Parts: sequence; C-alpha cells; structure tokens
Amino acid sequence: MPELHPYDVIRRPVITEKTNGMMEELNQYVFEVDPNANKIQIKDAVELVFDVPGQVVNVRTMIMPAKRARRGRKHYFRTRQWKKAIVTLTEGTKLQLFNV
Amino acid sequence: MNIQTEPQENHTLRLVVEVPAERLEVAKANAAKKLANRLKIPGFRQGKAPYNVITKYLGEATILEEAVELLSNEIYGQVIQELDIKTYGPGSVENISYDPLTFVYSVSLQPEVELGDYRAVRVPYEPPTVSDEDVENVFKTLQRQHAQVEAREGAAEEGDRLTADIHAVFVDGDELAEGAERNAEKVYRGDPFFHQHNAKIDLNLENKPILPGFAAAMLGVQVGETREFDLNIPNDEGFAEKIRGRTVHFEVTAKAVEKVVLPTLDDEFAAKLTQDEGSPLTMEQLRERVRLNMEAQSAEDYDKSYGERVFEQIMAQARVKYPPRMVEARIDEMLRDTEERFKRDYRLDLNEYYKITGTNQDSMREQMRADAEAWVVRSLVMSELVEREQIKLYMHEVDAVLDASVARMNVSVKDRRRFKGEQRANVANYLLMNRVMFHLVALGRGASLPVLNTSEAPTPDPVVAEGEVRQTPSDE
Repeated sequence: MPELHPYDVIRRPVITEKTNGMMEELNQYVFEVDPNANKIQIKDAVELVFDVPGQVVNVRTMIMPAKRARRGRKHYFRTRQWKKAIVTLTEGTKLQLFNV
Repeated sequence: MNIQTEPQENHTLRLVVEVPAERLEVAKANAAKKLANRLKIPGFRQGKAPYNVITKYLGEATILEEAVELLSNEIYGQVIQELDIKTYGPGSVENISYDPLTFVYSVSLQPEVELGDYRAVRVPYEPPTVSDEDVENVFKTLQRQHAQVEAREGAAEEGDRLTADIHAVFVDGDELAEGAERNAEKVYRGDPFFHQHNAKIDLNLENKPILPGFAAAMLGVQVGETREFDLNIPNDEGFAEKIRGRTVHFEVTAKAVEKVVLPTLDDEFAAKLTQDEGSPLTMEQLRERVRLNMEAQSAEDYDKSYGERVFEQIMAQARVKYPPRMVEARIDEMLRDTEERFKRDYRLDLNEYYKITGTNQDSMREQMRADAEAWVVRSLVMSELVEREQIKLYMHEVDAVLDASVARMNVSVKDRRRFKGEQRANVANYLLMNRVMFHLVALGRGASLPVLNTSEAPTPDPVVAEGEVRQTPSDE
C-alpha cells in the first residue's frame, strides 16, 4: 500500500447539528478521513494541518456503512462506505475549520 | 443612535441616521435566523443551523442585505415616533452607506395652510338684473321654435327660410402652386369657405347668417335661381385670425323658399306651451313665471361666479406648503382618468396614443403638472376653509337627497341600493360645495357669520350686508 501523506489523511470536516454541539460542548471535531488511516496518523495529521501540536487528547474512529439511497422514483444507488474520526482536543483549543 | 434632521425647501425632511455597530450585529443575527427558516441546509434541521454555518451557506452579503432591510424599516418607525414627525405618506430611503451604517431617509411632511385674515376679504356684490328685453328675447326664441313654415311662391323676402346649395371659396390671397407643399397656417386662393347642399338659412338681416351681407344678397331670390356674389369676412373676433378680412366668392342655388309664420304672443300661445300642467297659464302669468325663473337662474349663476371670485382672493392671500408627493399623486390620478376616458370614448390605449402623437408619459406628466399643482393648492385651501368655518354635512342629509332622487326612479330595490352606494360620495361633495359657496358669498358681502368657538379664529365682521341676506339655498 502506498504511504499516506499527512495532508491526504483528513478529507473534510463533518458539519451537522450534532457535530456543532460536540464542537461547542465537548471540544470534539469530526472529520471524514481516508479509510486506510489509523488513529496515530489521524492525530499527527490534525496537529500538523491545524497547527495544534500536542493538543489532541483522543481519537476515535468508525467505519460508516454504505447506505441505499434513491434518485427519482425508482432508481436506487449505493452511497459509499467512509471512515469517520472524532478528535478530542484539550480544553480551550479551537480549530479554524476551512472558514466555518 | 445619531439622528440629524435637515428640513428641505420643498416641505420634505431629510433624516440622516447613524446606526451603532451592535444594532447591526443583532440585526444580522435576526436576518440570518429569518433566512434560515426558509432554507434546508444539509446536516441541519430547518431553522437550527448556527449563524456561522448560515453565513457560509448564504454568503455575508445576502445576510447583510436582509439585515439592512429589516433595520431600515425598524429605525424609520422608531425615529418618526421619537421626533414626533407628522408625515404625509410613507418615507423613502434615499441612501445607505456602510461603515458606519448610515440611513438617509426622505420624508414628506403634512401640508400646512395659512389662510390669514380671510374673513376680511370683500368683493363688490353686483348681481345682474333681468330686463324686459331679456324676457322678450326668450319669447322670440320660443316663437321661432314653434314657428310654422309654408312654401312660398315667388321671391324670397326678409325672414323667410331658404333651402339652398351653397358653395363658397376664397378668391384672394396666394395660389397654391401645383406640387408645392401646403402651409397649414395659410388659407390659399380657391380653398373652400363653406360648402353644403340643402342648407337651411333664415334670411334674417339682424342675425347675419353665414356672413354679413349674405341675407341681403339673397333677398328676392326665386326657386331654382343661382346667384353669385362676393362678400368680405369682417375683422371680427368671431372669425379665425387667418381668414379675417379675406374675400369669399359665393355661388348659391335656391332649392326652396319657405315663409316662416311666427305664432302671436297671446294667451292661446301661452296655453299651448303650458298644456301639460293642471291649469294652463295666460300670457301675463307665463311672462311673470319666465321672469322669476330667469331672475332665480341669473342670481344662482352670479352667486357661483361671485363665490369663485371670493375664493380666488382667499387663495391669493393664503400661504400653502405641501410636499411634491401630493402633486405626483394628483398627476397619477389625472393620468388614470385620461386613460379611462380614452378607453371609453376612443377605445385607445395610452401607449398607442403616445405612439401616434410621438409623446411619452413623462412629457404628458409635465403638461399636467401646472394643473395638478393648482388643484392641490385649491383643495388644501378649501379643506382648511371648511375646517375653520366648521362647515358640516351630515350623512342623514345626504341620504335624504339620495332617497328623494331614488324615489323618482323606476328601478328595483337592489338597483336603488347600488345607486345610492355609488352616488353617495358625489352627492355629498355637491352638497358640501353648495354650502361652501353660500358661505363664501356671505363672507365676501361682509354678512354676519357664526362666531367660531376656537381661540385662533379671527373675530367676525359685525357689519350686516345691505339688502336681503339670502337664506340657505334648498339642497334639492
């Protein structure tokens, strides 16, 4: 398997009502990450990309299964499977999430 | 909030309001919430997205626009209330500048009318009298209307009715060269003056039909005879300027000559005229009635024009301030009336009219502007006068007049109700104008008017007019 570059680990932040609450209350940030990335790689990538060295306390990961969705009336398609990472930071640390 | 007021010359007010930044932020948050309620942002239930997410989704500019709109209405209301400004119609936003956020409003003020000492206005009251000659003229007209005609054998005499083919052309002036362009202001040699077949002319030397000298020239004509003669158009105001003093050549062919027999002015004639009444009148009684009617009509006409002159004097000394919006509103009304009239009478749309005449709405508005301004001043002075003089009109009086009119109509109850509803405003206006005119006549003559119970009103002139002071005219 080719080596995963730190900047390729994190794909996008997940911004929803739930993750918004997590950001404010629990200081946790949720990302979609490369499916082959492990927790250590995710921790290093976050600290590098957002310039917060040593502020990542915990990383949890989970694979989000593919779901069946519908386009129109009768055509179904499968969404892709993806990896979600919940990164807990130390209190007081805030990330600038792509202008969000 | 920093507010500056700048009174303008055209009776409007310019308000410059500087809004503090905190107020803008609150407005932006409210605007974002309001916009988000209408949108479905992915990942959030409707209306639950936070401010920063909404900003990212919609853009800062959209939210700012919405916030500014909300703020401008809110602040306008607040400023008007705070400064207790009496506005005429809604204000408008002239300009918005950012950093700091500043609104510039333009507000029209309520019109102000200063009548001054209008009760001191005096105009000489000289009603015309009805002379015996005027009454005789009415009977002469009645005679002619009831005249009998008999065909005459022989030459036409004075007073006869001539039926003829008349063809008259101008014989002096320049001739229009062949192929040359006609000047609309000029009348050329050979242009027709009068052309009619079977024209009926009364050969009355006093009335001077068509042109002076025509009747005289046709005296003695026989049926079938053609006469040719020249006549001059006099330098008289009765004729268009471009044809005064010109010479016209007439060619007249008599087709018929009738003797006009005027009925004698006697009791038989009077009885015939009043045959529809319960008891027919004698000539003396009819003369008296005609005289009374003429006197009443002449007095009414004179009072109307007299009241108008008094009002004009009051208007001349009144000082009126009004915002331009009133004139624009009146022009809009006049344009609507014109459009309706064109549609009704000529089946023409205003846009088609503009195309035909090569004009446009702006030029039409400019043409109407002077009349609109005069109307605004007139109606403001009239309203102020009605209010100061406490001229009142009650609904039951209007209803009484409407009921009387409707009773004479032979229509269904539903139609009567509809008629009353439609005509109520017109009748009320008519009655009010009558009362105002009566008031103005009394004012101008210096008759005693009711003492007004306001401390601002000037003391009335105690001089009573000489002669009879007219009673309130009947409103029917």
